[in-house]
Amino acid sequence: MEIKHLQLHWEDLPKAENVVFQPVEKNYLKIIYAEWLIFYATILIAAIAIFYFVKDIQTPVIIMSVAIVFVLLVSLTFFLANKAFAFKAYAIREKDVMSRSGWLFQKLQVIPIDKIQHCVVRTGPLEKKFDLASLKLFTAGQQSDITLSGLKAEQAEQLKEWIVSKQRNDG
Amino acid sequence: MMVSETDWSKPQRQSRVVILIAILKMFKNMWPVIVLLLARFIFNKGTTTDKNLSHLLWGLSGAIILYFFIRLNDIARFFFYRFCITDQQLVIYSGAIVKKKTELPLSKIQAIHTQQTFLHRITNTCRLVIDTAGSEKAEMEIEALDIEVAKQFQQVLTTREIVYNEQQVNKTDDYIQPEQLMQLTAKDILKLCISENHLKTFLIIIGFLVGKMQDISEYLGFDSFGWMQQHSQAVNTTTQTVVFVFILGLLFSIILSCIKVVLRFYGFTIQLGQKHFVMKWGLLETRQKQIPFKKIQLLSWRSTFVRRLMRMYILRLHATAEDENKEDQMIQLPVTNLSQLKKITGYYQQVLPSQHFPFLTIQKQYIARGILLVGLPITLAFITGLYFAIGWYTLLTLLWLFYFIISTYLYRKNYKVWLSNEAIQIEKGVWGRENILVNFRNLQQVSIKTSPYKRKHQLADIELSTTGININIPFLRKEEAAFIIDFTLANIEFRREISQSVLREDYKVEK
Repeated sequence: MEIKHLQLHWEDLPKAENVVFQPVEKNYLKIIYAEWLIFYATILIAAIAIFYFVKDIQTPVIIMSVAIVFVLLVSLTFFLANKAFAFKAYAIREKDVMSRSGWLFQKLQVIPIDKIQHCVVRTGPLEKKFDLASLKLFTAGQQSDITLSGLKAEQAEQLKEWIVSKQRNDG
Repeated sequence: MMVSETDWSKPQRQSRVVILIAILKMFKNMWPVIVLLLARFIFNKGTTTDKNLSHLLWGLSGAIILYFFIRLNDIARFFFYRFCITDQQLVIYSGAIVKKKTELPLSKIQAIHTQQTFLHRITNTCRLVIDTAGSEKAEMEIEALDIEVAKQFQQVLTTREIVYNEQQVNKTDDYIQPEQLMQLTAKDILKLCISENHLKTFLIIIGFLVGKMQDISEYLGFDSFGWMQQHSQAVNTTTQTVVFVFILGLLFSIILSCIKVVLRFYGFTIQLGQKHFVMKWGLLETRQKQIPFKKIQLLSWRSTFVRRLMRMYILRLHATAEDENKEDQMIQLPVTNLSQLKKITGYYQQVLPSQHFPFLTIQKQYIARGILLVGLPITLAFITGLYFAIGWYTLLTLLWLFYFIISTYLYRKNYKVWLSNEAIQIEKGVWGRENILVNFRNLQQVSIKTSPYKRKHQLADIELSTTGININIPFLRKEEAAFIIDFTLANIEFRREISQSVLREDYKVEK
C-alpha cells in the first residue's frame, strides 16, 4: 500500500506578516467620529430627560458624577477610535483579501478569494458625503465574513469587480 | 408487500397518515394545557365559583378551537401538497390559497434522510427529509410516505442525482447498493451504557425535578417545596438515609442512562454508499440519514475518561448548514475501537495528521492567565459571597481553585496541534479527550489575534472558520501561529498551482 504525499516547505510559503497594508481613507475617521457623536448625543438627550423628570436625582453630586463619567467615556471612546483607525488597514493579494483591525486587541483576518460567495458595496448617507463606501465579503461560513470599510467608492466598486472577475477566471 | 412501480413524472400525494399525524400533533400539543387548567380547577375547588368554572371552560374551548384552526393548515397540506420528478428537477406543488411551485435541481440534492416515529411504524410509513446545498434548513419534507414508496422515491432520487452528476464528467455508473461499514453489537451497546456519564444524568434528573416542582407550584397554586419539607421532617434523617437516597438516585440515573443509550443506538449501522454514508439508528424512533462526503465540513471525536480506557469514541460529522446547537441535527456515531475510527475518518481525510507529524502545543502562559483571569476572580467572589452565609467554611472554595489549577495544567499539557499537508488536527481535554480534524479545503477564513500581554510574550491565538464553527487555538508562539496561517493559506490557495496532478491523487491509496 503506497500513500502519495505532497511536500510543502515553509521557506517557500508566501508570508502574511510581510504584506504591506493599505490604510483606510482619512475621511473615514470623520465618519467614525460622526457615528459616535450621534450615539453619545442620543444618550445625552436621554440622560437630560431623566434628570429633568426625576426630581430625586437632581443633586449637584449626582449630576457632577454623571457628567464626569460621561466626559471620560466620550474621551476614551474617541481616543480608542482614533487608535483603532490608525491600525485599521487592508491588503489585497493575488489569492486572498486581508483585513487588520483593533488596537489593544489586534486581529488579522484573511479570506481566500476562492471562498468568497458574493460581495456587496454599501454606501450610507455619511459615507456618501465623503465619497466613501464599504465592501462586505460574504463566505459560506456564518461567522467568517469581512467588511472593508473606509474605501473610496470607486475603489470599492473596482475591488468588487476584480474579485468577481478573478473568481470567474480562476473557475 | 410489493408495490407497483410509481410513475414519478406525475404529481404524487403524501400518505393519508399525514392527516392522522396532524390530528395527533394537535392533541400532543394541547393536552398539557388542558390537564393543567383542569388540575388548577380541581386543586382550587374550594375557592372557585361557578362563574370561574364557566370562564375557564369558555377560555379552554376558545383556545382549543383557535389552535385547531391554526393547525388546520397541516391537514390542508395533505390535499394540496404534491411532488414529482422530471428529468433534472424535483418539483413540489403546495399551498391552498396561494399556490406555490418549487423546483429543486437534482444536482443540488445533498442528502435524503428518513425518520420513523412509533406512529409511522404502525402505519408502515416514514418521514422523508431532503437536504440541499447551502440551505439553512431542509429544503423539502414529506411528513408520511408508504415505506415501499419512500424506498422507491429515495432510490430514484439517488440514482438520478448520481447519474446527473456523473453525466457532467461524461461517466455513467449504475446505482451501487451501500456496503456495510459498521454495526453495533449488543456488547457494544452494553459498553456504551456502562461508559455513559451517569453523574451528569443524575444532575439532569435533579434539575428536571426541581424545575417540574416549580411548575407545579406555579400552575396549580400548590406549594410543592413546602409539602416536601413538611414530609421530610417526619422522616428520621440519618447519614444512612442520605446515603441510601443518593445510591437510589444514582441507580435510577444509571437505568435511565442505559434506556437512553438503547433507545438512541439500538440497531445502529453505518453503510458506505457511492459518495455518501448511510446511517440508521433508533429503537422507538428509527432514523436514517445520508451524508455525502462533500457535505462533511469537519470531524470531531470525543471520549470521556471511562470511554478512553475502553477505547470508545463518539464521532461527530459536522455537515454544511447544520445547526451546532440542535442536538437532533447532530450526526453522532458511537465508534467502539480505533481501527473503526480510522476507517470512517479515512473517507474524509485518509491519513490522520497525528499519525505522522510532530505536534505543536500551547504555551505555559495559558495556565497563569487562566488562573489570574478566571480562577482567582471566581474564587474570590465565592469566598466573599459565601462568607456571610457559612462563615469560615467558605474557605472550602479554595478546593475548587485547586481543582481549577490542576485541570488548567492538564488541559494545557494535553493540548496538541498536528499539521499535515492537507489537514489540521487538534487534541484537547482534561480527563477525557476531544479531537478535531479539519481539512484545509473546508476552511472559509483564517485569522490571528493578539492582546498586549500576548504581544509582550510573543504569543498569538489563531481562529480557523468553517461554514459551521470556528476553531480557536490559543497561546501559540507567534512564529508558530504565523506558520499555521501561512501554511493553511498556501494549502487553500495554491493547491492547484503547486501540483495539480499530485493533488488529484494525493492520499489516494494504491492497493
